Amino acid sequence: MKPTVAVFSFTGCEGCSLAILECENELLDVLNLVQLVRWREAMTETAQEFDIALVDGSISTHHDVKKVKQIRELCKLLVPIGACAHNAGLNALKNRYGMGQVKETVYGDAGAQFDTIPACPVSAVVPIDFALPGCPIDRGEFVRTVRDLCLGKTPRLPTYPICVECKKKENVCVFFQGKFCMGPVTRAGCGAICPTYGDGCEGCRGFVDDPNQNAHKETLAEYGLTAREVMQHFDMFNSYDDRLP
Amino acid sequence: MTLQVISVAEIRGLLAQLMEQGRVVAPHKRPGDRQWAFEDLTDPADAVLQYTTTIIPAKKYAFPPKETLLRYELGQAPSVTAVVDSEPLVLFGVHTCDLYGLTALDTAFADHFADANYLEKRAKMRIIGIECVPDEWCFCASMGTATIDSGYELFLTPLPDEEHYIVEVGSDAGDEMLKGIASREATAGEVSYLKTHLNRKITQERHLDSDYTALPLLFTGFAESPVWEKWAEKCYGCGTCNLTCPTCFCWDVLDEMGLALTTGERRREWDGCMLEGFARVATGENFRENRTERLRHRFFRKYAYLFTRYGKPYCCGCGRCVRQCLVKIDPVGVINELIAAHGKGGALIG
Ligand code: SF4
Ligand code: SF4
Ligand code: SF4
Ligand code: SF4
Ligand code: SF4
Ligand code: SF4
Repeated sequence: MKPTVAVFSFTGCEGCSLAILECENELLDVLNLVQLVRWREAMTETAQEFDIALVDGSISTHHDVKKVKQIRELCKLLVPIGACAHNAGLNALKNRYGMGQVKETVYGDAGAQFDTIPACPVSAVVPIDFALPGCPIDRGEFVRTVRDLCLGKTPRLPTYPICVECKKKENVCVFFQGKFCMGPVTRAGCGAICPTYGDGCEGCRGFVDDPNQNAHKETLAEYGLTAREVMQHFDMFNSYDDRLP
Repeated sequence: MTLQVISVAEIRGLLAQLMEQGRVVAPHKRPGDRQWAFEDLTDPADAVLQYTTTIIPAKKYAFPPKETLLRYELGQAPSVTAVVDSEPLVLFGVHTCDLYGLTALDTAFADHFADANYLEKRAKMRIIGIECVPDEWCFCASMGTATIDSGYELFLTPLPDEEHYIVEVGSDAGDEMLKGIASREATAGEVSYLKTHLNRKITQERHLDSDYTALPLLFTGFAESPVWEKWAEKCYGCGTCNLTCPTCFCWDVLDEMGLALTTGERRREWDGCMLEGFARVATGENFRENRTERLRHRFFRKYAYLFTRYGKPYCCGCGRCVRQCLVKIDPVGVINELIAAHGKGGALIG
């Protein structure tokens, strides 16, 4: 029997679950491997039983906490997909402020009635089995991960930084074109897509396991960023990461 | 054969002629400060004649970043087919450092087990070398690669007017290429210019404080040096130095099963000893977990281990590693600092 899969969304743009729909060429093959039983982007069924739960979005309300705990109870494998779910991504920027201030800034006087807590990755609330990084996820990486989970293999993420994929494509390093890049400390897997199109990497896939952050702060400063701008580069997608000072 | 002289226009004509016969690749300008890359030539006018180094060396045509080694089918009658892709190729505009780099790879890929994927591609290459424009990172002279007398069909050196090039012919295929191309014999003055020009190149500013042939012995005294840690402190472990190096040849092998789970392929992809996962084995153990160990290993490979094994250094002095390294970890700087700290004696073995 094919494993059953449910897709859930928490706080995020739902771009990552949409990215699954965009796996156009592979979608039918994926559906030969697994049976989708619940996914509000694509179907009306709301199954209560499933083997694999894919979750996008950060946990950022008390309600999210309760729901993700339930999902954990119901599934065999829990796989956060995308930066929001993987390391809280952009959402964690709000954690720099008090929740009262955040609510007021966004909703004004009406803010008081909203339930919000500091944004966190799924793994901060419940144990996870694997996480797919990226904003959004890489579609190729997604289908390979589904395949590996069905085969009972541990999926693999690159342990090397974006620069490796960038060099394999023989891109001109964006630093040599007057731009800035988080590639040397960011986990590869997206094919260095931003530098390939001439933009610096924003670090959406999170840090490699052993990032040389000091070296990178010096590099960014040497190429002309102020201390504040250096921190902004580090914070953009990685502010939840507690390795930051 | 006497040295010939041809004009830039004739060089372009030669390229046009070669393009009619098949695939030609040449250096092209890329955006950004002093960046070039070998690419397929579609117009002879696009080939850059004067440049320092490409981002990735010519090795990519014999040892591509990603390559399928075999395809397999599962099911009732499982089968495996080896895949070797190769085609005739003219490589235009290769510098002396890179010619040496290719000979270093030739040795490594033929050793022990002849690597058909590399060797077949290499056998179908014809090469036109060209003299370079050194920059502040080049140290080919210290590695004995500022000049080279084989490994090319033709080699071109510009005369002072930069409108004419002296042509050295290195093979019968080179003679063949020149057929139908107008050229004249070099004058005595032009021949002596060639010599002074090469002398200038071999006295380049960046140099090792040691004869390169002494490096394997010197390195025996460097294993425990604190110098490694000092340089590694700013290293990312990003592998750029490995991937851009003309003499690095490491790869990783992966099996990629198709989504239908009935077919798949085995691939190799460039790997590098500066990367965290390089020395990790199946049990999870990592033999060179930290960047200091990896940096030291890389240098020992280039200047000691492979040098000893093959009788020649695995560095051609092209300077790509430091040119592309964001934190400027520079082989000449590192080695000269090691020599300054530990002397030229080398440790006693045993
Ligand atoms: S990671 Fe990016 S694309 Fe995915 S849900 Fe979050 S914001 Fe959207
Ligand atoms: S552009 Fe970014 S990812 Fe590419 S080599 Fe430069 S720093 Fe690395
Ligand atoms: S290059 Fe960087 S920012 Fe762009 S997709 Fe990849 S990890 Fe994300
Ligand atoms: S020496 Fe430079 S290029 Fe090599 S791994 Fe370290 S930081 Fe990257
Ligand atoms: S180690 Fe550096 S200088 Fe030596 S061949 Fe490799 S890239 Fe060139
Ligand atoms: S290393 Fe030597 S041969 Fe190579 S580009 Fe520099 S000067 Fe020229």
